[in-house]
Amino acid sequence: MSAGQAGTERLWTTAADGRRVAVWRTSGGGAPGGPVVVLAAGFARRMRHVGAVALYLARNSAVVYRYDPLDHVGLSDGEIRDYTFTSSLSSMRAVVDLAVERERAAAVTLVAASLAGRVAYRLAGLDPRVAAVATLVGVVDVRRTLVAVLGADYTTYELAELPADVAFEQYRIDPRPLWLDHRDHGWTSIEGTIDDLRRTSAPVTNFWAADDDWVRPEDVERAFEEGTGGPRRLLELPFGQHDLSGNPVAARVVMRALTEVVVGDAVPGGQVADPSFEEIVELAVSERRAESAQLAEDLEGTRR
Amino acid sequence: MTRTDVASGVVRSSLPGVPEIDRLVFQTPDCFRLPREQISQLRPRLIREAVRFHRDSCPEYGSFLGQLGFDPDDIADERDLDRVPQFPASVYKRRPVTSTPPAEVVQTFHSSGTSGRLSSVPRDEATLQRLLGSIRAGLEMLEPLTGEGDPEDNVVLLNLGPPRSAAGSLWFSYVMTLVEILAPTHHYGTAATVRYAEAADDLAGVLAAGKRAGVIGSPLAVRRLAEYCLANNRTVAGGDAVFVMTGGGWKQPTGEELSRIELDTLLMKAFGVHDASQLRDAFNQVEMNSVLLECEQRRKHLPPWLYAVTRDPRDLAPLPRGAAGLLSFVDPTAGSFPCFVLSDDIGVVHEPGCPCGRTTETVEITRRVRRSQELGCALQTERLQAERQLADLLEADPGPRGSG
Repeated sequence: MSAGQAGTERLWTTAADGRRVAVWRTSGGGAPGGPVVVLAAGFARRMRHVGAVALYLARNSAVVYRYDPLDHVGLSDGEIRDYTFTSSLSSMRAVVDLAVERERAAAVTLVAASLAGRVAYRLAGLDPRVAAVATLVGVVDVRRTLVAVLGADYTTYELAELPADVAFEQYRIDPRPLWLDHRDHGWTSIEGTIDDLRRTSAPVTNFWAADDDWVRPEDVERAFEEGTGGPRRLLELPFGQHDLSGNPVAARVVMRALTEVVVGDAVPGGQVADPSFEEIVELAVSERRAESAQLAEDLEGTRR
Repeated sequence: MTRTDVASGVVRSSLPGVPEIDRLVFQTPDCFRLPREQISQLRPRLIREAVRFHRDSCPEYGSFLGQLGFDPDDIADERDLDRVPQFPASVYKRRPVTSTPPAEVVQTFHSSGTSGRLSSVPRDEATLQRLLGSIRAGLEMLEPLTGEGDPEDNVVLLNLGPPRSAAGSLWFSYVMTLVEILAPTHHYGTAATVRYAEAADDLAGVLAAGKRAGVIGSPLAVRRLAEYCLANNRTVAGGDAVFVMTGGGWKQPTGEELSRIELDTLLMKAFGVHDASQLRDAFNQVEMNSVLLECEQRRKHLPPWLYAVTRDPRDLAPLPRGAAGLLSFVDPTAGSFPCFVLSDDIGVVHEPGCPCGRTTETVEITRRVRRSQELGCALQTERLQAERQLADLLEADPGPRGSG
């Protein structure tokens, strides 16, 4: 790794239930002294899909730990069919443990996209090591978002009435573990999010998109106005949509602003350094290959 | 602007808004099926804004407009788009014409012509991203070919061109490598040759792994792969799991045009594909920033932001839809250069009404211009005038620009 270039280490950690969580640590390319960041991609997105975010933060002096949650797509244990918020919380907590230990850091900043934002709001209220939270199109009313995505409010069903699976993009998701997670741990209501934000004294920033079909601006406003456990900030992306990565020109603007929020005064020279177009393209291609190689290795291990 | 809510203490601020062109290119699913009235409204608006931008940012284009007395604010509706001044493609052969500071240029790309001077066109990141966006937007036309789900998981692309590290500034090769962002891709081209044997092995391997294979390359390279497979008993029974995407010139080393019908027959035999609709062609050139992809009817659709008109080569008068002439384009997706260009291709722009149901016009590229016989006085004069204006401007301001 040459000076000025970010590098990624591939690591593993273990969640409380003993299952493996795949973690990529990205650092380098800037003066030391930036925050330690735990970065979570959105639902059905892999850690390689937030490579450009990791590159931005690392280039500007942060050390970034991103991961694939349990029971999700990606390299960690479990399948997305069995996704729950609670196993996603367990994954995030395990990565915070790893980051704190390896970096000998007292605290971390959580950066999370979409549904992972809801998990970050919960963990920030539970774990004093979370110094700050920044979410990209963070989901505040899970029930409403799931209705928009799936077309039905499964929280109103009886458990026995639920279908065996529902479709999300190309994935099949079993709604029953999610339903039980909702009943037992209160993930889906906006009131639950407000409670978590009230418990969180750390600063929380949310980037919200004005044309987001899955997260209503008024819900974001309400959650942040009522969830005032500490400093709260809302940044609007006019005409933006929920899938920020779908518009790479707008994504640049967001990543630059996110870096300012997360790294703050530690940005070397006070000016955010932008990774080049070629670097971002190369990273996307090389990390897809790295993921495929890991999956092939895991498959080989399973066969043995 | 930042403001703080007194009651809650929440600090609110706003990022710069997403420009309309980017909302259309990146955030409009099914943009090839927008209602005609909507296209008629947004196209002039986007083009007016682009012409204004390049008038103010590109000295050469600003001067060109000034001399022609053209005011972008005169673009009221689609009928005015024929009048947008266009640079002949030859203008880009002199040196890069740019609307952006050199520091923002990712790379200056070159055409792949085999004779005469090459075009040089600088592109910044937003311009490159929108080019890629035009491909992404058109991918829905390929969906039956790429199968259900994410192409990243289901499809392997076999690019008969070089990898990005070896593509250099050659535009055609570079564009072909960008598909790597969309799906896992193997590359078989080197500076001198194409590794057809390896490509044939991998094609069989991808199919054996239960994935779909997309063969990508120039018509000539694809033909040679098919010939290799047939000559070496390496044909595959691709069924509906193979598709072919050609791009670039149809000219053979002999100078003769490849026959598409003959190529179809060859590819169907070598790759065992079910239907000719699995064999698609794409059109782009270095002076143009949108890629035109074919639908299942194998018609090249204009994206809703792009305006195309054919012109009479003798006097550059706009021709009605359906009439063959010199193809010209007005493309508002380029920020780094005025992408308003008279091409060197003869073709036809057809009215909307493709049986596929998409609502945009289609373009048929017939052949390249045979210069000496066909270029009328008007175009030759226009070219000379535009080139002379550019030379005068460059003499007055010979500083470097557009390097990337």
